[in-house]
Amino acid sequence: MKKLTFILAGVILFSSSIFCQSLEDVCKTISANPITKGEYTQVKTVKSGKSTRSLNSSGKFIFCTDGIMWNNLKPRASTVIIGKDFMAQISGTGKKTVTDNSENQSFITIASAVTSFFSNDYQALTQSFDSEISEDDAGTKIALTPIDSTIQAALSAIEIILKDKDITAITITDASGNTTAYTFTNHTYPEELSQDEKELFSN
Amino acid sequence: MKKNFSLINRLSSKNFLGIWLVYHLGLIAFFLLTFAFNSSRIKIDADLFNMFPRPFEEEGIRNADEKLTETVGQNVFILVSHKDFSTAKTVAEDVYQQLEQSDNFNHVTLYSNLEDLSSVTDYLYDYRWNLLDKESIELINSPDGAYDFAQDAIMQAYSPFTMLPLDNLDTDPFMLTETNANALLASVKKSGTAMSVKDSVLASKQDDIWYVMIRGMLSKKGSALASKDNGISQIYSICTPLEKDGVRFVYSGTAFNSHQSSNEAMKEIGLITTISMLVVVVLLLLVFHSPLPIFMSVGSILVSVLTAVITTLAVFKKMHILTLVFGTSLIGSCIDYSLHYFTQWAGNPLLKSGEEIRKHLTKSLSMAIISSVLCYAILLFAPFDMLKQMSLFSLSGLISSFLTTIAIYPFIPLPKGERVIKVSGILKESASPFAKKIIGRIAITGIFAFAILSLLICHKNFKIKNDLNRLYTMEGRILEDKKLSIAITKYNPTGWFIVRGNTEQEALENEELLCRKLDERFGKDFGYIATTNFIPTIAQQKKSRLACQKLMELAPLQYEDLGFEEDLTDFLQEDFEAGQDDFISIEKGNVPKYLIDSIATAWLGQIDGKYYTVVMPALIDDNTRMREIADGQSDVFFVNKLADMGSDLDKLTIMVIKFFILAYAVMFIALKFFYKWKQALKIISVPLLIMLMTAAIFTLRKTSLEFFSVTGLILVFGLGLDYIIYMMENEKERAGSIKTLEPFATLLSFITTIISFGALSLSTFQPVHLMGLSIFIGLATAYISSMLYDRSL
Repeated sequence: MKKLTFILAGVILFSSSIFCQSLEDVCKTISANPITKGEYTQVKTVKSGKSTRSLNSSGKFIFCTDGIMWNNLKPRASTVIIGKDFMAQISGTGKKTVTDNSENQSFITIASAVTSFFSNDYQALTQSFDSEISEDDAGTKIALTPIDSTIQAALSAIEIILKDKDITAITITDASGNTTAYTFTNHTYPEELSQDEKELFSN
Repeated sequence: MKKNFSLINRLSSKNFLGIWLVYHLGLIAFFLLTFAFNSSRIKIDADLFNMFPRPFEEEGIRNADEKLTETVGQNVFILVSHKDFSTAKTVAEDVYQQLEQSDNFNHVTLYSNLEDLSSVTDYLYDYRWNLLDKESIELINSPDGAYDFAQDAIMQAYSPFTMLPLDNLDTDPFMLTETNANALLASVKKSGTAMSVKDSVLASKQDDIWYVMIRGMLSKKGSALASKDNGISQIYSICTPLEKDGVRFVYSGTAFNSHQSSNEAMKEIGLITTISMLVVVVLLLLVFHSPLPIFMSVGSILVSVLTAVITTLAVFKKMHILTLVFGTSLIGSCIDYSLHYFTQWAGNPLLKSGEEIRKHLTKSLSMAIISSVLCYAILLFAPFDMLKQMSLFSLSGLISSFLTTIAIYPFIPLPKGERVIKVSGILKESASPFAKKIIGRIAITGIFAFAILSLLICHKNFKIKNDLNRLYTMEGRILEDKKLSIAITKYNPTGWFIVRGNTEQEALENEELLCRKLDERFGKDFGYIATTNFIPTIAQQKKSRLACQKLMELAPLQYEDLGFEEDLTDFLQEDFEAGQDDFISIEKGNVPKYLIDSIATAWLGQIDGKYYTVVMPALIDDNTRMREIADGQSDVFFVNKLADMGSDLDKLTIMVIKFFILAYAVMFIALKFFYKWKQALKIISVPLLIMLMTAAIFTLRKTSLEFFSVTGLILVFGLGLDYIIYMMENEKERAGSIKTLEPFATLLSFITTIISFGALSLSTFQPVHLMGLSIFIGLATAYISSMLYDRSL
């Protein structure tokens, strides 16, 4: 059974270092760096037909209070921007497609939870997700489960791994059991975005 | 003609009783038989719009419009608001649970069923070859477009976010299902409200307040606004106690307006009936000093109203609430006959029995009923159901009352003791100035001159114009809710296009062309509900498949780019070819329920052998431009109820005036059978004076003459003539006459009638008010002119 997963937009917004055990402390730590840039690799695991397939890609990312941006470089160039109430996609040829989500309450719920992470609004995050925090050798693991049944229908869980103040991995599991796993490297924390980058986040 | 009256007078009281019984029992039998052989239920119609004429000449279009109006008219929306979403949702769930099982509703919906969505995604996948939108087809058909489309699909597959999971990438390497899902989402957005799914319910947030939507469709039982336990009353009884602690309900849907107007109309009927009855009772007690005339008159009224109701229901199967409101004015007419009888009964000792009273009154009462029946009968030919209902209601009621007067009353024993009405003496003095010819002539000439001069001086104010916006004005909570609802949902369809075709496909193709024009004219963000937003025509599906054929040539390369086995191409080709004759069609029944529900207000299906679909814009700023678009395409009709009905009522008003002229001519011919030229001309000049005076006063008040006031005038024509006929008849020297009694009875008739119509003019319901006002002016003119006319012919 297929489920809508477009509302996954914006849930992957966690960076910063953490040694704390509560989500509130995590939020506080992350909000200390309102802009985070770096590189990522993405592995999509898809149960297609009888086999399980993997789609691997890599690129650069930006997390900030205005939203997130994935600049995919391999195997195909493309950019995805998740704003507060829109989603934009720019193809390798420069063709831009913008989806206005200002009336999509599920999208706005997640997007506002995401941005609140960077503005230290712990309440907004807990209104949208149940959380569980544990620690092992890989680092601190934060498991988030959506509360909203509409979001649940698309998204089962998000797992975030933090080590040495950096988010090192995120795994998103959708309602069909497919996963999208990210690993993050080369984190930087600039003071502000460039003009071009700012424009990307203005719909 | 005199022979006819002498023949009537030869009939015995038993004969008259027989006629009374045949008439009333016959109508009861007709009523019972009609409903014994008819499954439809008796319906008192309270919908404001239904009292207006239907806007289309063509029956098919009219039926399609009625079908749509019935569906849309039964939709109700309840928005539950609170600053906290979970509180709003909890209250909405409470209301939903209480309404869900109610037989007042065909269905009540709170939750957006996500299982239904999975059937849609299955559909998008199964028919992925057929469902490409126009933009995608254009892209694929452009030079190198197929390659670009395929590359976009690869980009999508590697993108962090896709709308749908990639479960079917093996069999959908071009991500057609994803493209189709994007197009569907755009269509949903284009045709829907500003509400979206949150935590399984439709919700919206505005000014930090959450709104959760409950949708419902009233059942036949629930929409019977005349009953106390209808759906709207149930909603109010459930929601009102919950409206506390920051919870606020916003109600929208025409049923709420109809409920309010119906309630007001009901209250007004009660008020008008009570006032009329009280006045009649007090007057009769003062005049007759006996309860018997009151008892009999009230009985006569009840019998005539009951007769009128069953006749109207038997013929029309339903009756508009306004017909009933208007019907209460029958009290005034019915009482006329009773008053004439009981005036003679109580005050004329020269008439020794009930039979003698009947013989004495036969001609004047017969002339009165003939003139009234002629006028009302002409309205039966009006092409407007409510006018026909009113006409039949009045005809059957008046005849019943007339028959009761001449057939039942003569059986009442004459009062014992002195038979005199002392109060009738007041006319002896007041009659004297009018008796002078010169004064009467000057006064009549003065009234004519006043009316004509007023019309000449204020001719710019004289208009025959119907503005429906003036007829019903929303106020208070209803208005507040309406504004709030539009602001939240951004949805307020005030007009729509009806599209016709000989087949399903022809209707859809016509609709597709119309939608293209709308998009070109108003831009792609212009929102509307249309069937082809969700279900493409077969022609469009074939174009989609042709475009996919081009993609198929790139399949091996696509699998290679995805890192999949190339032999998947063969399976893909097989799948593509297997569906080459499988097209989506509503008639074929392969559209998922969720989509069928989405187009419930758009797809009307087959009506009278043709297929109809509706394109309903969410908001309309400019009706003229919409109409221009419709006029430029055959089989497309634009409907804006208020504007259409206004202009149609203008035409109808003029038609009613023509009916008035026809009735005028017919009445004059009829009068010539009974009266001399001079008498007939005098009688027939009264309706002319009524018309002129009413027009003059409306002009001075700067009020347009519109349909309801003109309809009122036709009714005055029937009733107003009675006064002068009674006066004329009284002037003739007849055995058993007492000169002051007939004018007294006429005065009493005038007072009772003017009070019941005067009460109508106090109504806040504009159609009733305007009709009452014109009748009030008309009747007053009729009575005064009757008194002023030189009667010594």
